[in-house]
Amino acid sequence: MSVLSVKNLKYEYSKGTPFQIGALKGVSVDFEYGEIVGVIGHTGSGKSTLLQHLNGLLKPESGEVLFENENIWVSKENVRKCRFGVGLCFQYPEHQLFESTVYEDIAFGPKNMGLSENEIKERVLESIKFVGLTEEYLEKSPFDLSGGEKRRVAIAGVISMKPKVLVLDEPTAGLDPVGKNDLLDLIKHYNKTTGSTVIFVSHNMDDVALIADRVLVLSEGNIVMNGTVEEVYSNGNELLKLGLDVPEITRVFLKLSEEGYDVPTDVYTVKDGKERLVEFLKRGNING
Amino acid sequence: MVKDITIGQFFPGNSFIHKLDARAKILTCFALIIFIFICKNFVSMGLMLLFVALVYALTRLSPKLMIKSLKPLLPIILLTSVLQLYYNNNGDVLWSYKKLSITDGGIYMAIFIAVRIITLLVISSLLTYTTSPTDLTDAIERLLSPLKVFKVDIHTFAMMMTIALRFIPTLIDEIDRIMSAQKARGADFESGNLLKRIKALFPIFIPLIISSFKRAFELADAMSCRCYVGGKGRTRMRKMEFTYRDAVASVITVIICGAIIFMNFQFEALI
Repeated sequence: MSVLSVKNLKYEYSKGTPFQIGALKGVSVDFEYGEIVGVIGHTGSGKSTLLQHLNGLLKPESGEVLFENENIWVSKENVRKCRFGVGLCFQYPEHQLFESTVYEDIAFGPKNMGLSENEIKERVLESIKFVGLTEEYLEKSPFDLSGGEKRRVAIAGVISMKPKVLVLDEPTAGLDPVGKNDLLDLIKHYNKTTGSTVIFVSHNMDDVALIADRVLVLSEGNIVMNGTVEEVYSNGNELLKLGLDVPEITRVFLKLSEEGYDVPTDVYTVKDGKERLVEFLKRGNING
Repeated sequence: MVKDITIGQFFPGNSFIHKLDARAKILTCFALIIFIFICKNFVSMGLMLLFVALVYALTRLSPKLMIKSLKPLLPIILLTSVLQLYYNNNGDVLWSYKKLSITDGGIYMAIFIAVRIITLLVISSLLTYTTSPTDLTDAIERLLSPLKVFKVDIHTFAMMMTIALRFIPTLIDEIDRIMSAQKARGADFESGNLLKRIKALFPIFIPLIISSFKRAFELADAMSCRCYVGGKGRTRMRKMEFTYRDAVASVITVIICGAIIFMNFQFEALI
């Protein structure tokens, strides 16, 4: 059984106006328990629209969204259950902070769930640890923190609801390389320790290659590729045709292959690339 | 829902009305709005409505657009009309219940008021739909420039208006985004009593105000980086010129206004 599935989902923005972007044209996909799925696609390909359907923020025009095999739009309770079961963290989530202390802000979600004071406290402490901040932060004002810290607090605010599925829209946007790697590690760690499914959108192919088990590629409202990282990235040329980037190392190998060298093109991590290159050089078939 | 309100928005186009000089548009719209209140009977009001509808057709914008933006204001229009029904007791009594009575005069009045409000809204929408915010504030700045004699800082005023108008769509987008983010954390804006609903607005407005301040500071920095020092000695990139079109529009407006006064005298006054 999949934790979350989407069946033949269709949605159009601002029907009938010239602003029709990010529409979905019949998307079907299943998300399994415990996997990390990277969603990639061009701007306006429908990534964000898809994400907002996953926890019932948008109502599909046709098709359905199933959370643990239940259609979320059957009743108001189901939608609410889905909101808490699928934690959605928007792009630049630090813009949603509003409380006077970090503690209060992280507690906003659990409070809305109607949990007891003790349970809320427990969850806040747990989530702040997950995002790699110390308990000292809890009494600070969220507005006094640095950009990266704010982002962590905002993510903790979603994690504190203990969602079965954590959905993140470009979690690493605007972070420096160190902050970015830390955040990716944190997502991976969260996924491993809690067993929650993680779905995240990224523009950065290297990020996706680093932590995702599976990759979805969206283009013009359709899923055009759906497979393991290996499967998707071995189609480097097709990704480039869709206007998407491929990891830098993949690009090197594609170019080499284009120049007539007999190298594999399904390379997407630097480590793997090094081995393959060494192997290739050992074969000693370089002309000139 | 928030996004349905189009009053104040600009829809680019290439029609006769779009090409009119913004100053001419402001002045004619202003004249027409005054004359809405001079209309005293259905004939003059009808003439006004017909003229406004004709001008709207000239803009080549979809009538649906106007209807869509009137929809959210329908309750206000209806309320004012219904109050007229109750307060206006001229003419024959058609129906009465205790102290409440409805007369045919009241019904006419209710319809008249509704038409008046709708016409008013259409005229003001005509101005904003067809004039870009920059043109609009430019025109206001020029029209108000005689006030400089009294040491009023017209330029700053106009710049403030431009910026305010420019950020309305941005703010609407932002409200939408923050609302979604808080909803994702289980915030509930649709149920509960009044106090609860007001409280539910805090998670939207605090982030909104904070980001607005941030944006304001950033904008101010960006402006000073480009050496903005205010109105003194600033020249303009585009010149505004009156053309034959503006002459035609002004003459037609004057004729319509004249006709309305004439109709007021010719037919029995309703008000």
